[in-house]
Order: sequence, then C-alpha cells, then structure tokens
Amino acid sequence: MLGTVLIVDDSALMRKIVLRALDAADLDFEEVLEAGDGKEALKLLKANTVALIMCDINMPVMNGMELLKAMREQNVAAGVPVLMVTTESSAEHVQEAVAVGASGYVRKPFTTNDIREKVLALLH
Amino acid sequence: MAISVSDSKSASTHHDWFSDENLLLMDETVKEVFGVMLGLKIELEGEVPAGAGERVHHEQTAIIGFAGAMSGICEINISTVGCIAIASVMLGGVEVEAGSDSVGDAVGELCNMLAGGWKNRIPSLGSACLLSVPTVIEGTSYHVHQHANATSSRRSYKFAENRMLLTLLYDDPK
Repeated sequence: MLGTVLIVDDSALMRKIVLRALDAADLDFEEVLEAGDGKEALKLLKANTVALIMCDINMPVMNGMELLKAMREQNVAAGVPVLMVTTESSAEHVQEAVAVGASGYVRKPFTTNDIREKVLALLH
Repeated sequence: MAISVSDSKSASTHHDWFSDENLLLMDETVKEVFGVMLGLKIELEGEVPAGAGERVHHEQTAIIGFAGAMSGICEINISTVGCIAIASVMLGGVEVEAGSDSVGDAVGELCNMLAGGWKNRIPSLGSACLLSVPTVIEGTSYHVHQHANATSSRRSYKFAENRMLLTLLYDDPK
C-alpha cells in the first residue's frame, strides 16, 4: 500500500480519470482524497497525512501554483511529492512549478504508463 | 446569452495565429487528444465559415479563454450524444446519463486539452499565453459576439458517428 493520495482538479471527471489511471497502473493507494481547488486541498493537507499530491494548475479560487506557494509559506505537507497533471506544459511553466515546489509533471492528455512512471519515480 | 471577447491591451503586435501551419498544429492536437485520452480516431472534415452571430449546431459547448500574447477563445461544440460517448470512454466505459455533471465536465476538459495542447505547440504562445478555466454551456440559444477586428477559424471534425466543431477566435490589433 502506498498511503494516501490527494487528487486536486476542478473537474470531478478528471479526478475520476486520474483515479482510474492509478488503478489501471496497479498503484494501490490506501486512501484517496479529492479537492476541487487549491483552497480545499490546503484544508485537507492540514488535516491529513498524504504520500502524494496530484494537482492541476488551472483551477478557480486557488490554482495549482498558488497552492504550491501556500504550502511552502505555511509549511504544509513539507517533503510530500507534488505531481502536476496539467495542460500547461511549456518549459517555462514546468520551471516555474518546480521553483515553487512541484516534484514532477504529467501533461494532459496522458496514458496510464505516463502516470505509472511518474508516480513510481516519485515514491521510490 | 451573449459572450463578448474582451479587448487585449497586450496583444499589440500583429501575428497570424491562424496560419495554415498553426491550424495544422490544431489538427495534430485534436488527433493526439482523441487518440491518447479516448482511443478514438478523429478526422478533419473541413473548414466551416464562422460568421458573426451564427447559431451553434450542437447542444454542448465549452469555451476556454486565451490571455497574454494572444487574446481570444477556443470553443468546441458537440452534440449531447457525442459528449455522453466521450464521458463514458473517459470513465472507462461506465454508463453516463444525459444531464449528469460528467457530460459538461467532459466537454470542458476536452476543450482545455485542445486549447492547451495547441498553444503549447506554438513556441511564441506556449508560456506567453495563459488559459482560463472552461465555461460550459448547455443549449443552443447563444452566440459569441466578435469584435470587428476579430479573426476566427472554424473546423469540423468527425469521430465515430459524431461531429465536433472547433472555433478559434482572437482579437487582431492590425
């Protein structure tokens, strides 16, 4: 068991797709938490211990970049790997996300293998 | 309902964002998104005249805004039946009912991947152009107002027994 994963995306459908990709990749998480924006995610992170965060960038209320900055400023989930799952995949966006704490990137559209490779690289 | 494309203060230099080369990049993006995310083959049917005030054809629409180096929108328009098929495939073949949130989410997410995939293929837009979150509209009783200096391109694609109309529009400061 790989602990708890937090999936952050404003699309409930995309959260289900990511969860389905994790299942298809035989990545057996003990618990799955879901948040529809960065603010909800921050609240969940303050109340739970997670092993991995999978996060979109373009979201209402608090986007993925703002979540990373808030986590750093408030020292929340320090050391927890954050995998960005997003269409915003230009080199500059990747660099910006890494600079504020992202550990890896998966570009939408993604395959099950993309998810498996990136998650395993972060957790092992 | 009427939707206006706002004026851009930053897009002060003339660019032909809808050059033949860039539109081919959209075709490439469409094929990639449908192939990778849905396992569906999709083919370009052709260009469709995109006149101001023209009514949309299908019931499900998603619109993503571009801001920055290019100010405009990417709009996709698909029938409800087509969106149900897309949502079902995205969810691994589960049954999706008309009117469920998954239908709107599917068209919104699809538009997001198409808009993002296209602009990331164009070096001068990649990081210089940001995307809005998608707006999803159900129904056909609306039209998108274009400013006089707007440039648009509309293409029709066919997948399975369904069609997708994709419209790109930007404010051209020329």
